[in-house]
Amino acid sequence: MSLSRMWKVLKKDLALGPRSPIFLWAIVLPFALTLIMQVAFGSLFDPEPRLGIVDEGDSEITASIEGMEGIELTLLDDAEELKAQVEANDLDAGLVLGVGFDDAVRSGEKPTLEFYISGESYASNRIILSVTTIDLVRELEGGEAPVTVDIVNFGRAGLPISVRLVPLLVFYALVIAGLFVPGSNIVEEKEQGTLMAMLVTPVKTAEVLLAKWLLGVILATILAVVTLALNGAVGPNWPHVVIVVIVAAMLSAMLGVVAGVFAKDSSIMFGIVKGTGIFLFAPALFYIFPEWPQWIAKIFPLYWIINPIWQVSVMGESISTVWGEIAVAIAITAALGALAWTLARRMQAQMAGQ
Amino acid sequence: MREVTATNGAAIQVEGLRYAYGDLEAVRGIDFDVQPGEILGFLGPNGAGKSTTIKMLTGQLTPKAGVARVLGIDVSTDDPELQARIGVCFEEKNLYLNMSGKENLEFFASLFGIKDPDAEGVLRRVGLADRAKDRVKTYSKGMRQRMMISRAFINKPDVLFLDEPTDGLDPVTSAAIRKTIREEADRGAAVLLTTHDMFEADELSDRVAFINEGEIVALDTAENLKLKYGTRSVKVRLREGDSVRVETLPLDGDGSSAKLAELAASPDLLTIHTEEATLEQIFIQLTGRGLEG
Amino acid sequence: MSRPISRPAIIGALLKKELTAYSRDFIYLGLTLVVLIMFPVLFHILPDSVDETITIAVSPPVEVLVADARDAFIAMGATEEQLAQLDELDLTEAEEGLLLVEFEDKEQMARVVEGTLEAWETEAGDLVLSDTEAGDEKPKDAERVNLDIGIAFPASFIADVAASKSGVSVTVYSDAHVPAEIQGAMRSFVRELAYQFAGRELPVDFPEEEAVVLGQDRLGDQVTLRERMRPMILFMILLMETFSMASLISTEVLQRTVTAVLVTPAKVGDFLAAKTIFGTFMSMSQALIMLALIGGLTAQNWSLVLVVLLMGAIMFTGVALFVGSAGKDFMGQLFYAMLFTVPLLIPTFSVLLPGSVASWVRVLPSYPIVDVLVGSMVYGATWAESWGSLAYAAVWLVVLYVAGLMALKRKVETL
Repeated sequence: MSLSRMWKVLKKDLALGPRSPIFLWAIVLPFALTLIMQVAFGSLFDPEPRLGIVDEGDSEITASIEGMEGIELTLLDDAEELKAQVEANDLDAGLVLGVGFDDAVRSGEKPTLEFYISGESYASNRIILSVTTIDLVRELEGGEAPVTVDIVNFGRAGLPISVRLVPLLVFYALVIAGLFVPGSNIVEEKEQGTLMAMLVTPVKTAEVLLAKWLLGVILATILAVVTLALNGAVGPNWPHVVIVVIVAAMLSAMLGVVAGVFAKDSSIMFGIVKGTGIFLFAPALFYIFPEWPQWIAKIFPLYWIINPIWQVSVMGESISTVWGEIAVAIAITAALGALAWTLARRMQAQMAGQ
Repeated sequence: MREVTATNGAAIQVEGLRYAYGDLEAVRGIDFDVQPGEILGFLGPNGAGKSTTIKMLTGQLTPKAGVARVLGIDVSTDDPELQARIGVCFEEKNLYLNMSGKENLEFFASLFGIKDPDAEGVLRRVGLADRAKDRVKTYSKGMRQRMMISRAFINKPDVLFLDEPTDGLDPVTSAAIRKTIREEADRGAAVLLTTHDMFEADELSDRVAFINEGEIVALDTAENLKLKYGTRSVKVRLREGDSVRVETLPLDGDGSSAKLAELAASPDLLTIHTEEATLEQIFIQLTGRGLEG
Repeated sequence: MSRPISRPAIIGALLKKELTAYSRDFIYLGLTLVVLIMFPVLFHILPDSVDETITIAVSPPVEVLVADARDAFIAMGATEEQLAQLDELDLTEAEEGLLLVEFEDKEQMARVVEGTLEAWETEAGDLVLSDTEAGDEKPKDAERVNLDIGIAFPASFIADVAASKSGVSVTVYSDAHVPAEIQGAMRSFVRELAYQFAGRELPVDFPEEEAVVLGQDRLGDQVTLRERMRPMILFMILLMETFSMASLISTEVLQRTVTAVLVTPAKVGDFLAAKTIFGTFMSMSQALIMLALIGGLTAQNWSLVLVVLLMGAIMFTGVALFVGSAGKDFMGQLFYAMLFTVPLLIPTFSVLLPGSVASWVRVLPSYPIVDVLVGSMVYGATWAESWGSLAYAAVWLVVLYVAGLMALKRKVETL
């Protein structure tokens, strides 16, 4: 085994990288996905109760709700438009505050509360919006409330969707850069005959595969760390983050090498990635939907790389809390490496027989 | 478009045929014909315009100018009758790799409306009968080329277009393929064959057309071309001490007869062989470049 | 010698070849099988009910509050009618969607909310607490009750408030991950209870309930995630077949087998027709198999669903034709495939979200297909209600299919 020869192969792949659409796609995709997921979809996975208000009289109720956390407020000019949106479930509820509503409440006129609820809104949202509105009306009335309410919080606050999407985004970086790039690279070399051309020089098969593996590890590590940084998930424990990311990159790159060695041509390579796509990405979905039974995620092999990243990078835990998972990930990587070596020998025999 | 002269029974008739890829003129006004049962060899280096000519005649490209008729049908009219009566062997191997040899033939036969094509019989002719049921992706390079040839024969075509049919093959396979091509010509098919292999052109073709940079620079039988453009000479081997001296003596020219008589009478004479020009030498002479271009 | 052959016969021969090629491709066959197994499994894993209630813990139990208040009411001279109303008190009556779990001990309730005690409900409906930190075993045949909010009333809450005593205080215990709006709503809920018990009427009138709820009232009958996923799964089947078809087309182009076909009596049109028929057939048949596995067809919607699936199949076949002709090699073609299919996927997420979709999403070609699928399968939309989206889908179908056809035709003719 010559590291110098291995480095030459790696250097060639890094130089050729920008000419390959797959390589470019691997680099661009995490950025594009971060933008799409966080901007377009981030707020849509964690819906807050949606209230629309038509305020014809500058009511204090509107100002109070504007200052509240957790209610998505939409101000409209037209009551009919409000009702249409409520009916279409664009809003969970709608409130029309006519001119002089506040004064009417204070003077005891008992105005009718024009409050609409969407038929499709959940009961929980109906309760939240209606009791909150009633409470605000009481405040308008003035006077002291007959009870004081103290809220005592236990534990830490839940994570917003923008954070829960991070594992999915990191997964893309790991799978595309770590798995797909080296895998498709090996297949292309086989198809073009350049692999055989290399193997009739002093370069050994193991050196070539190691170079491809390192290509995936380097690319995946960089892109995964960049993705985490873009999503604000790299903190003071960054050395631990880098370690878990490297372990993750090692496993995904080894998967890529196995796939590349196994696949005879590009269509088979594609078939493998397509077919195993849901299998690879499934663990990330369990972070987006924490209400799903979490034990299911452990069935999937890539859980053992994504959970350390989640714990260390997103949750800020120390690497010592995830040693077990890292050990499992390294064991899987080693097993895949042995598989890659066995398949490589078969691949060489096939190439010689062609 | 030019007026077309009478076909005189020619299976392929071409007059003033032209084609350009953008600004690059690939075929610059060529004229030739091929009679039924005749093999015409198009000999020229890569990029001479051979494949472009075949593409025009098989309907893959529409000529920019000139007229080409195959079996009396103008190739630019896209007449389905034309496709039904020709067979094409491409330069590129374009077989269905996941199908067996037999399945490939049966499929293409079905496109010609042939219900019982006797695919195994065709494969037997090219020596592939025992691999008929194996997938083409398991075939060697030579076997795939034989498959290409057999596919061109499946509809018993009246005209065969063979683009580099033996390119890259070993001598034994090449000889087998040439034999099959000759059998088709003997059956009455007109064969237009492109090659840059001088030996193949010489061996197989009834007539040879030299094509270079889109133009036909010569068209005649190989024999006539050699006679017309070659020089007569003999190669004489003479013993000179412990070594052998070789002398080439032109037969035409002043004093050559006397010189030949003198050498023939020499006690050091070992061998005398007549020499004739090769097609490649003639090609170089006419075009200034070799066939391997 | 060949015989004259009709166009349908040529197309039939090409179709037979397509089927042979597809059936020999074990990777794609395997993938198809995996997808046809995995999606139904995923479908059945998804929840088939919607929990739209807020479950809160209360201490002390309502009957304790009522019992204490009863004595105070009697002392204050309440009428029998008022006492009867008190006896019938149900804190959740006014609020559908609120579920109370009662605790005798305030401290235990706080520990359950904190997470240091687990609450389990037995089949008999009894609440059992287990201290897992202390090593208690989980009770058998019981379901875990997740309580993230607990309200600790003073035992004399009702009486004190009714008597307008000052300094009445209630503590709401909450897990920190409970959203702010729910915590705020609990505060409002308790205050409103106090106002009611204090006899202070609301300063506003409420309209009739019928006028309040707009649209079909789905309370207690919400669309489950499983129902929402059904159209999404069908759509994904159609879209994923695009990849397979594009790959097969690309292979024919790159290996030049299409050139070999076109020097026979088969024309470009025959080739394209065969690809279209085969692609549509494969997409549609897989969609039908999936429908059989996950259900969704009713006597009312079957024709609409089948028609829109067919439209989707043809539309995505057009995309496959386009993608198959793009790219100079397989990886390049794959790149184009991703480029086109990612935007087409966006409308499927709208299925999971409440309300109308953003206007920019409505412009996407796949949106009308998703819209009709969701409308007919989830909300029972009829043909009359769907014609607008169908017309829009038809326009996009023509555009994409023709674009794909032209792209592949041009590619084939220039090979």
